[in-house]
Amino acid sequence: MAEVSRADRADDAALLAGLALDDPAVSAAFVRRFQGAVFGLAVSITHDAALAQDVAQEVFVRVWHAAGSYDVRRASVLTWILTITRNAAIDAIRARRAEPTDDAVLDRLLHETLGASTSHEETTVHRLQTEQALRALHALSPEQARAVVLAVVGGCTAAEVGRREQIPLGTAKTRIRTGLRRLRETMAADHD
Amino acid sequence: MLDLALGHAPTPERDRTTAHLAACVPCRRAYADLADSIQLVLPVAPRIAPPPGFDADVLAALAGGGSPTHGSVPSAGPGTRAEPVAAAGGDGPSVASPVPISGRRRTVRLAVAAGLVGLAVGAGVMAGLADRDEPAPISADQDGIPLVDAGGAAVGSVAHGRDDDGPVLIVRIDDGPAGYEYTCRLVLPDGSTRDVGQWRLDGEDPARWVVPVPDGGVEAVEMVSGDGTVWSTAEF
Repeated sequence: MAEVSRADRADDAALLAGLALDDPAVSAAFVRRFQGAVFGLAVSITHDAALAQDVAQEVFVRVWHAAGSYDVRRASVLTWILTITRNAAIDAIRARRAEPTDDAVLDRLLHETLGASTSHEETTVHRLQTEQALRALHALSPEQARAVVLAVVGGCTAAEVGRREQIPLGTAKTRIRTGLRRLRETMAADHD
Repeated sequence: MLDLALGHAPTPERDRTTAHLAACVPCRRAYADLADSIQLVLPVAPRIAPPPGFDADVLAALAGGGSPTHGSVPSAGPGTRAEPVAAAGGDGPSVASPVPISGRRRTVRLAVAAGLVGLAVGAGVMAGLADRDEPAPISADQDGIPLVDAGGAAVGSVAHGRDDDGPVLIVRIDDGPAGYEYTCRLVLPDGSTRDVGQWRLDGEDPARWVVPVPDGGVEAVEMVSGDGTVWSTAEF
């Protein structure tokens, strides 16, 4: 069995702090820990493995530059890095995506996301965060949950969600907005 | 507002909405809630192992100072996404509007504007520039360090430079939301801070300002929005 280094055992915030110090072992541990989530979200939004690879690499560079500005009070490291990933991926598809995304791709995304169980390869903290978000998604109506996943994880515009779900644009926006609000309320109640 | 939070608002709509958010506290709060909710969903994204060698490429890029070894992706402005929204200055002091001129001349003109604002806010540190009849030439010592926002995107840079009176910082914003006002805050080595100007981005890019370096130097430069949120930071 491979030896687990001290860097691999460090918590996310400590790894991020170490990344800013250019420690090669810490940097490697940081990339290993987050690359699956970063690449996964980048693929979900771009639907293009090569572009997702560029996006994911860009994300780690941005994180490295911004490590000193991370504020633990505002978001977990996982949420922070996934927000950076989403922004970078949306930027990338805005420049490149010209055609509507294949429905089969979105069907697979919905299945993988809403039907997912968390991976035991993940750290406990990441698993807990993922489970909490999944619980909140499952508390929504299936229509709202699909709209939220397509918009946030699939990078779809409200118009694309409407087309995919065969509903008017206004209904798509209402489902996304209401779903997001209810999800936030559910997660806040979880914390209480 | 939803389109803006999701990162899909087209430019005219984005500018209109961001301008409204800057002035409307209830809408700003609603936008912040939307942005928070989007963040809460993100951990459900599927985990997919990247191609073999990905981590080595990333580490090589980091070792090389952050230049990607693969292709690069474009960056959109902070107003296009679910990130903290800057607010208007509220009851703050007067604002300098960058004058749309280009190149070095633009930098010098803005230095004077920033100096006048420095007087207005009583920071004192800018006073010397405001009294000049002819602005002194300014030279940059280096390309500068990145000014990065909370989402990790580089929105500008801060470079050390020098004019006739001594060392200065050249603050440059390449990618900021038009119409927003920010306070430029210096973080000093003893941990204290000093506000040296309040500036409005006019959407012309890049916007540049020159700030004299206080005795003892500077640890970081922060651009702070009207609600006290640090929009972007450059750390030395």
